Amino acid sequence: MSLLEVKNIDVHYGDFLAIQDVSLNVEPGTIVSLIGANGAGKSTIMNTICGLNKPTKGDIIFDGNNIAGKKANQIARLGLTMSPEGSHCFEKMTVQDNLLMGAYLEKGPERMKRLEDVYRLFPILNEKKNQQATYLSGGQRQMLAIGRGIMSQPKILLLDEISLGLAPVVINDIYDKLQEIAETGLTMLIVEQNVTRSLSVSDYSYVILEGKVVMEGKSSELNESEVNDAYFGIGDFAH
Amino acid sequence: MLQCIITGILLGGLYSMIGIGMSLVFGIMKLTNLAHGDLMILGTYITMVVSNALGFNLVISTIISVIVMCVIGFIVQQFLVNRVMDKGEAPALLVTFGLSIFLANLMLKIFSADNQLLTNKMASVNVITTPVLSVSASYLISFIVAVIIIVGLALVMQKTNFGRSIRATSDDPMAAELMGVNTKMAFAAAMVICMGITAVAGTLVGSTFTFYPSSGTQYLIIAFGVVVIGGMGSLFGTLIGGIVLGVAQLLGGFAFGSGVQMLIAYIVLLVILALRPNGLFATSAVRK
Ligand SMILES: Nc1ncnc2c1ncn2[C@@H]1O[C@H](COP(=O)(O)OP(=O)(O)OP(=O)(O)O)[C@@H](O)[C@H]1O
Ligand SMILES: [Mg+2]
Repeated sequence: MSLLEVKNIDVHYGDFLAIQDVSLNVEPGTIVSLIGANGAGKSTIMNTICGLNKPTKGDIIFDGNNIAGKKANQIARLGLTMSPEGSHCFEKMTVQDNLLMGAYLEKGPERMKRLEDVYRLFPILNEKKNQQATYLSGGQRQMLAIGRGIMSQPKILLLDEISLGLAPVVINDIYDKLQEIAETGLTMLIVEQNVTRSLSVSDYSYVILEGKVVMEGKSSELNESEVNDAYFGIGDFAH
Repeated sequence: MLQCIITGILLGGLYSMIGIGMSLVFGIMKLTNLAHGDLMILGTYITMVVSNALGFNLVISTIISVIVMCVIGFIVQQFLVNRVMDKGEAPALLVTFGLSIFLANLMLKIFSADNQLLTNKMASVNVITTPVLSVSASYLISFIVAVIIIVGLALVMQKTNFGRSIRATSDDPMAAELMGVNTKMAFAAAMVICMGITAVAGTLVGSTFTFYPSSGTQYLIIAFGVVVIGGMGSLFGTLIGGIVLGVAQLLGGFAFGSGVQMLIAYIVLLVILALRPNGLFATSAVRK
């Protein structure tokens, strides 16, 4: 059974239909990626799943609950954690307080163990634990956002464009860490604009074009040049 | 001169008590609560009614006033402010302005325009009486209460999960919501705490100075001065802000006569604003 199942959702911004009849599945223990050009609707889908946007049609089933239209904090309590586009660290708080906020729902001493795990994964965060997040570099804030997501020990972690605006070396670094996280068995739904990287990191991919799913399949079986055509809406995908 | 400075510092404690609620509401919600002074005077009247009608002493009356003001704070936040906060700062400001006018008129209807003083044994008692220096008990108590509340509040905000969630909500409400924080409730909790503290301030003010239904405006201006000098949202800044304002007022009175002492205090306020527009201890200035 799928951990997350998005069934035929529409999402509107006012009168504008941003997402049209999108369905997707995430099996437990896998990494699923959404690929698509700027403005395709990837963030809108992610934001709708985590409750920041409301779908105007369709259902979203997470771990047996229909979460469509629920508030973001209620969905978080069910074990779905999202790191939104642009990292959204708590700028005025220290690195450590940012991480502890990730475990806001976990009141016990378990938090300290998770903190150690995150520091082991990202030693730089340990070094900077008493600094305000606002003084971190772009790569470090992305690590902080991911670390904060892990702190909640979610059943699924949603990551929206963790490579946004970062240098290639830094991106490689972060994706290496993501592999390490995946090996612990954490289920993830990620957004990544780079087709090659997206296919190599994920088990299953969906290509989004103008608010619709235009191609999907096992990442290992998808043909990169066909994905590129779908991505830009050319060839068979022209309208 | 020494007398002025010591009394100014102690008076500053009272002023910072008046300012804390306003500073926190501003720091956490980016809301300038124009009803702050009227809410505080409402707290003073509640203390007065409880102690007159039920014959409780001031401490118990204040506790009851704190509880009532916490409930009022919750209602104000949940049913007035939270509803318009998404629409930007101006609508929320207007709501608090409307509330201010409503409260002042309501209190005028109920309590008439007569001035009042909370009767208490402390007002006329001096803890220190020497030829050069006398310190009144009510000023000293106000100062001590202010320090205790500020230190306690700072600890809660820095060290507890609850305090952290309030700071996170103020910093980035969307991200806080994604971490499982019910941000509307976090704002309501912040307002409840502010109103509880403001009720204590109300009792302290009412047992030090006479008050009447329209006193709120005068204390709003003091709160505003404290918050601006101390830096919006900074707790310890609030204490310093109160002290600066209190000392400036009394030294001004000493030098130029008590008729202009508040004027001198506000001139100091303007000078500080001109030199350090974000206050002496700005915390929200790092916001991009
Ligand atoms: N708050 C909003 N109000 C109105 N329209 C919006 C809003 N957010 C997004 N849109 C529109 O919805 C469409 C999808 O946007 P979305 O941000 O989901 O795309 P994306 O695939 O995440 O793009 P990017 O790769 O640039 O992040 C775009 O046409 C965008 O202009
Ligand atoms: Mg996006």
